[in-house]
Amino acid sequence: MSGVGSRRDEEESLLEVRNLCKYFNNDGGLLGGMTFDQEFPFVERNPSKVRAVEDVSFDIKKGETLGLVGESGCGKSTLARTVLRLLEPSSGSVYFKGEDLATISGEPLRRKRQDMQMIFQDPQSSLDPRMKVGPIVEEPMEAHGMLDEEGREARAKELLEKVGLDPQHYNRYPHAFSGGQRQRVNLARALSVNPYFIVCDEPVSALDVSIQAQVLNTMQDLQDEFDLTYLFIAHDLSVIRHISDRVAVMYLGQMVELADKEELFENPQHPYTQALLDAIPVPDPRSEGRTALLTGDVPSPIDPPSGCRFRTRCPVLIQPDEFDMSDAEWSDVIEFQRAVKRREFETTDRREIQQQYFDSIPTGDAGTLVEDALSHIADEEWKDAEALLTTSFADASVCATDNPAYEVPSEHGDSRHYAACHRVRESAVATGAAADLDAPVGDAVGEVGAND
Amino acid sequence: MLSEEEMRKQIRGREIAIIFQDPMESLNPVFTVGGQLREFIEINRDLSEEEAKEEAIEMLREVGIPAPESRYDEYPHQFSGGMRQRVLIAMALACQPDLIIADEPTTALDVTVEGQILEMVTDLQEKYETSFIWVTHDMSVVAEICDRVNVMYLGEIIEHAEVDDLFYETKHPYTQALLDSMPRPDRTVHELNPIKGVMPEAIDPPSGCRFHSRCPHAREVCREVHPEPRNLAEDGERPHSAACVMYDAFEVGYEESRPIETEASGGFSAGLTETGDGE
Repeated sequence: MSGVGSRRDEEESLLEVRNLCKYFNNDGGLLGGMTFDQEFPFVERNPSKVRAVEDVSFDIKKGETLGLVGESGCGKSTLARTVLRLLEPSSGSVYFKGEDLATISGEPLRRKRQDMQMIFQDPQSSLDPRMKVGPIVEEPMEAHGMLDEEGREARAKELLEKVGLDPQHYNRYPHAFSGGQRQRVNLARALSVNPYFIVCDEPVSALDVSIQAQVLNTMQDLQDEFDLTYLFIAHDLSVIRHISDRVAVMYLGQMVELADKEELFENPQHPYTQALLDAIPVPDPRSEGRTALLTGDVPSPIDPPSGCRFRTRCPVLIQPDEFDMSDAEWSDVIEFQRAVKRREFETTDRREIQQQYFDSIPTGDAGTLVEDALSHIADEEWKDAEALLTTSFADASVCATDNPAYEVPSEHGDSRHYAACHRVRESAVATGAAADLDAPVGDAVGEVGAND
Repeated sequence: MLSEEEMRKQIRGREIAIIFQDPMESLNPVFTVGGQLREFIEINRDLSEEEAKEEAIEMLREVGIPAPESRYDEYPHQFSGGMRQRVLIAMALACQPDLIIADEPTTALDVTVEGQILEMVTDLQEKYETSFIWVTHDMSVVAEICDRVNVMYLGEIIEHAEVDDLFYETKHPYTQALLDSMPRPDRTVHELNPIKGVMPEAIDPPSGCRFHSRCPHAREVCREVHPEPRNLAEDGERPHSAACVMYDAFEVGYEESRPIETEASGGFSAGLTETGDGE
């Protein structure tokens, strides 16, 4: 990547995403959305929504690469497809060069697609096995009425060469190419219509390390040559660190942190980003290895946690104001609450549980609540114990009641650092959604609102 | 030499077990997870159905599946990817084999889940004193859990060393090239150096050293001599072998030999013309 860093702020945004949401209904099919019960009324129909992407806002500047990371199922690909209008957004806007893509449709939208292309993850299934690579590369040009037949062929050959293939291969079928070469054909196809913006959805994750490096290098060279803007999705943080200018981290359909690459990797503010970075294995036997791993699974996007969605797994959940426990006591309590919720232990013996989860039972109100929960467990009333602990501790935290959205000062690079975590509220220079971070620093935009 | 039947009855499962890459495809979707695990234990350890079920639940608990009694009766699709891989590990460990072959068991998983699984495997390995052959292309995983490493290229083992020596005293140019082509999570790498060219077909491998066609240090002699791995460590040091005639131990006149043009040195381009060449 050339030094985009210093110029970036003066450059205009190519793409502005504002409060974008994408919900899926899960009431399709005969029995969709039905719940069955042993008691009356036995069958109930309450269709729910899978909130795959919720309230996401960000900008992509011209010529930059925005990396998008997150665990599988966190909504990265859905976000990318919604941005390109391959999926209909449920609400929100996507401004591409100033025009809201969410409101146009039909022919104007089809024409717009010339400016935005996509490269898919699987190089095998994204190329038609019955078409030769030449016509594959020409097809988008034909769809957009570019050039005449001879012109298209010449351009296809030129592009094949540009992406590092032999133009002689124009008449070969995709099966004759290796995975890395097929991904190059995909690149050539995306480039054929002279796009401004390319969404790359895990373009190298199906490739071997050595081939991956070749394709990444080619992508960077092409970006410099054609002044392309990439939205680069990957779950591999090493690749993201290599190719991105700025990085966005997603968790369960929401953006939790967005900052300059150096800033995000060297000075991460959100506990999820920190956990993700700690979890990356380093190719070095002398490195310290991974530290404190996240426990539990990602919650369901059908009924995501209120407030900060990461709070059910967050190692540094904020203590509710009404308690006055030490940090160690608080973390014991919250660990115990999660263990009960996940039914991690089976014993109902009070002393054994106490020994496993508590150094000492906290004093005061908190202690009474924990004692009550222990009595519930002793009586095998797990649900009551869970409810008691969850409502009085986990759900009382500011993390559960307020939606976090802050901007913190950057230590590296000159772009803004957005972090959706209440722990940074003290050092924050602005509050508000990531979208409003475009407002001048220090200009607090709106209150940190409670959940809508 | 064991017959196929002896192999199946005495060795597989009991002595040597395997964990496959794709946890969805290695469990049968129409049988319960518990049933599959129980069957495996029942057959290999000659236990009754009841005993095997108890053992199966115990193994599920061992690999960190919460509430194993109720999850025993669930189907594979009700488990997440990480959970399924845990079930396969439980299955492999159930008969306490001496050796487990793990074929890229974490490649399909997220880093966070991968971390959990590797941590669990390390603990269980200590507890059961099992040996592992860990097949992977991920050097980070190698760095994290392996003691010794064999590096393969085109069907041959070309370097063998203890893990620290492999990363810090790299001998074979292929291993070096592989390490150089990786982006790093812990620092920003501005320029990646991929291995040039593509791996040749195994149907007609290059003569001599199989890596010579992509090797930056290739000379005439590399085309002619096929090196077997040799121990290059000094007496008293940990063994470290590599199959590269560049080292004096091979005594085939590498120094006097004429350098040849390869994909790595920039002359020859077999269909793949690197745009970013000449870096």
